[in-house]
Amino acid sequence: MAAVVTVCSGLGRKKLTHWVTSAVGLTDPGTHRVLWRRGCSQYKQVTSDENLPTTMENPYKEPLKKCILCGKRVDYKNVQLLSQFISAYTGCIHGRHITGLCGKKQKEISKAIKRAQVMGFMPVTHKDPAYLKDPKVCNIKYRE
Amino acid sequence: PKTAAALKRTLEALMDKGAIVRNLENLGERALPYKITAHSQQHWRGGYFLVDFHAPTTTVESIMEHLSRDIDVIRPNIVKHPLTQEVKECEGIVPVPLEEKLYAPKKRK
Repeated sequence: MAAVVTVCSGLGRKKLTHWVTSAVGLTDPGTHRVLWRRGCSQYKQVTSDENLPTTMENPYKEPLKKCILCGKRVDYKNVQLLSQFISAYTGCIHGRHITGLCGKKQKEISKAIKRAQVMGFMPVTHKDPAYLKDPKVCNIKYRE
Repeated sequence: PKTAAALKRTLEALMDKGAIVRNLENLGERALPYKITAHSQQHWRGGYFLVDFHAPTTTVESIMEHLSRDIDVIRPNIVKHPLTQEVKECEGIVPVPLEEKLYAPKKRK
């Protein structure tokens, strides 16, 4: 047994498939695994190809979180929607961390607000009092 | 009466410049959000009218000039038609890995 081990390690890269199989048959179960692995590095054929783990896309992927305006058109004319994203007291546009919109929609909303303010649709320094009772969309905390 | 005459004038001017008017909408008469000063006069109330038209891009400036000379028009605005822009499909908020945000990119002067 010991003699067979030294022979295998000494010969190195040469193909010793028939030697390995014979060695496996002879050796004890304790050293059986060690010898089998040493021979396997030169052993070209991999028998269990289908059962090895393969790389694939995560099947349990959840759909990405959408912002509240995802997929909806933003118009400069509906002042009610636009005034939901401005401050009631100062009229300044809320930032992205307050509104929670994605990049594109935040830009669209801010552009539409600026347009409406210039054209005379929406007040600049305050929120239109008719729209003060809208449901709150942004998570803003006013100081008490 | 007066507003109708003003509207007629503006539409005729548009057609003279070579614009094809598609639609005219009246958004109602209401109090302006803020006091607007135009042509040495201050206005508190106004009527909103929306005109859809096709026009070559070169005539936009001449139309704006013409409308600004009109006393009855308080604030002329020309804007691209919003319905022509398609609504792109928004996939959602892609989570940015926080490791990138840890080190701010060095500002180059």
